[in-house]
Amino acid sequence: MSAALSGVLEFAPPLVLAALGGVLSERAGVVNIGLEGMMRFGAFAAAVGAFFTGSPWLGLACGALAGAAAAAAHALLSLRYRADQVVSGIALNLVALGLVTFLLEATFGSSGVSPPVPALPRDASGRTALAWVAVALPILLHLVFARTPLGLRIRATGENPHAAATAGVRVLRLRAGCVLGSGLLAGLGGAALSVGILGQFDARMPAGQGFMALAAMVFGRWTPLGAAAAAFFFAAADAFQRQLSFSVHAADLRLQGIFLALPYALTLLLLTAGAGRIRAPAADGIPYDPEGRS
Amino acid sequence: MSALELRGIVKRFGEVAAVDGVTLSVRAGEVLAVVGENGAGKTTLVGVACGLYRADAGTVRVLGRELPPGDPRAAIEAGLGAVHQHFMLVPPLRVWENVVLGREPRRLFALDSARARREVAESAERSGLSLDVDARVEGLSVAAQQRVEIVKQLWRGARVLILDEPTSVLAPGEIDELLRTVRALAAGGRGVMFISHKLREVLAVADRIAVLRRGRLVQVTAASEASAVQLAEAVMSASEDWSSTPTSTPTPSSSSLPRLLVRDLHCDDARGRPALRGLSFRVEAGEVLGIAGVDGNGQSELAEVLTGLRRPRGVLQLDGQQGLGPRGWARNPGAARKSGIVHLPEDRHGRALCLPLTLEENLSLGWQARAPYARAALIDRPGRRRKAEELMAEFRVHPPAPLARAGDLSGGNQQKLVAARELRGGPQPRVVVAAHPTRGLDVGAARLVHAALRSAAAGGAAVLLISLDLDELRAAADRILVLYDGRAAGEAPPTASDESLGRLMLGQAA
Repeated sequence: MSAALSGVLEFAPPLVLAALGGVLSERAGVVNIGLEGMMRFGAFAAAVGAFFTGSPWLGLACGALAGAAAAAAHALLSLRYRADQVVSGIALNLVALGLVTFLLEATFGSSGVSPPVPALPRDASGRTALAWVAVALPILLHLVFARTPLGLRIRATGENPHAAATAGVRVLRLRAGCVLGSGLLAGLGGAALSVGILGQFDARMPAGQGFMALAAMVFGRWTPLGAAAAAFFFAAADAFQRQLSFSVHAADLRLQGIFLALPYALTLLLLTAGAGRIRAPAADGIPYDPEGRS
Repeated sequence: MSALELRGIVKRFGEVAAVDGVTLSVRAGEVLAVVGENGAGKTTLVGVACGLYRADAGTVRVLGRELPPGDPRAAIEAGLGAVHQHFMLVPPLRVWENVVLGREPRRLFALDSARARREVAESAERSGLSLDVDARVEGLSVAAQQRVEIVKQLWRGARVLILDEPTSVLAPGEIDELLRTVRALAAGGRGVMFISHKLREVLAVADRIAVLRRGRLVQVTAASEASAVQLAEAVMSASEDWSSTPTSTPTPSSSSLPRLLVRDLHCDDARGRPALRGLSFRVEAGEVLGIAGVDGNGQSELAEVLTGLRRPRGVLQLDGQQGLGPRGWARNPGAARKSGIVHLPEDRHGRALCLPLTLEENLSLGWQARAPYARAALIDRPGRRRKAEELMAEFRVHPPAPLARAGDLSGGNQQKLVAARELRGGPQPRVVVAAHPTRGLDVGAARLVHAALRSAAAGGAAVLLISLDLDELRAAADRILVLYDGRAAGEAPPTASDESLGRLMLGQAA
């Protein structure tokens, strides 16, 4: 059990970063169900970057940029063309699934895993620098939301974009920025999987972590601190589940399934129990039409 | 130099030209009122002036500077402030956050909240508006939210203020206060454009009065030379004379069972606080009962209970039939509708209309499974079209285009659509619940809705007319019941004075 707890800081960064990405996008009023796909692009681009440059740090940057590029597609579709944000996000996930599999084959000639790539350095307990980013970034994002003009504008835009627009906020530009930032964070989260945890890219990445990040975002009531706390909690459950998977007892293997389902089950439970009290930003998912009669 | 100058403004929505070549200016220190019917283009004109809509033609100048089209930020920076009909506030945010949004004072990277709070409080105080700057907007009354909007504009240094239908959401006492505020703002050197359709207010507050009709400017007169009668004529086009609409006198039935009986009704509001606390009254068939009261004294909940949207405790009877319980007619909205209860709800966007659907589709909602809207299990398109055209002609919905989207109509025409559907779209109703049915409507449309309510009563319905406007209740109701704190504070004839009704509305015995 203590091994599982110490593993939290090792395994949490991908989930925390992606969950913060979700918070950033949705607080501005854009549903980002494409976190999973953005993480996948990020994980792959990071592995490619690290492999060819020899630097895991440049790999990390490649991962973040790839996530942002994928987010740019989401922003273009959902903001410029006012496409349904859920549909656009799902499309992004499907494209990531197929395209990355193809690129993996084309780049490394493998359909399973990439060759080992330079990984981020770890301290004695196996933590990378990203562990501290995962601790600091939620606090930073919280301060941005609570204490800065930008944060006020983001919150206002997610609740009532028409009001924000009449107050002089450039709604579409702000939303685009938040979606790009969201992709950057999700891409970084994906990179944390490949060059951070595993030291190579695996074709199954991110294996549902993007969806778990969405669950953490909801569980955390769309707040940076809440979402990060939920992500840490889910990561702990995940680490525990990993421990169980090494066990030889059949009963433990059955338990593993329960722990896999735990984040989603908890989120469902919370949503039913808190129905009416837990609410998404009022304008979340609604395309902004400047001339729409409200 | 004019504070605000609009020249040759044209704006179209789809096929509808909402504003069609309007030239108008507001001087510093004056109140210019703009009056007109629903759909005359008042709100659209405001939208163009403050950069929310991009005009198809024409220019907007503020203090001599031409504004780039479709840029709200430039309008604000030039000194133009608008208070819209639907408030542009962010409910979960605090008052001061709403005020400074978009122009936040900073200290390094952070929002300087101490300075923001101080400045907002000072702005409110200087203009004599009382506000708690730390309150969350979602918990404020409508009048207080309006004060937030005004302070928001003043804090931003607005030299020209546009108020779009500012009184339509206020109670009588609050209206007087607002009009005083408006005069004081003009006296302080600001130019004010005051959009309204209530001629009495306009005559009281304005220096000059401009009349819009169907998107065009009809006349501009000095308020000192204007009369209510002449203005009313100018506002209404010749074809919209409703005074000839036959009205009926009520014929209350003499049977011992009233059409609607309410006894000791209790229920909670959406936040779980008691809203109705032992309300009792009765309405006969053929009668129009006006429900008066300061906003928030249980009117909304009463309408919801009667239409099956909210579950109360107590006794509710329709011609002697029980409304409560698992088989009662008020158990859900569908059952209430089947029992002949129709509803003109307070929130027409939220509850009455589906804005992206067409006019004919909206007209059939709620009746969609019966003739002439349907035949067997299928929609009867020609039948629905014929009925829709008939309803739109009767209620003068403009434009009478069955395939236009409800969202492209002006607020007043949307309300006409709802009234047409509820009162004339299906079988003769037994009870009509009309909540603020003429809010935001001009004289002609309001008369039309009142006539339709009267004719529903003449046809045997019991009509509940909920309104904040005492003049409306006097004009349309047979009796006025005043609600206070979820109970009946008393009853008055339509001839009762403002003072006696006002006392009841404040919970004092008449």
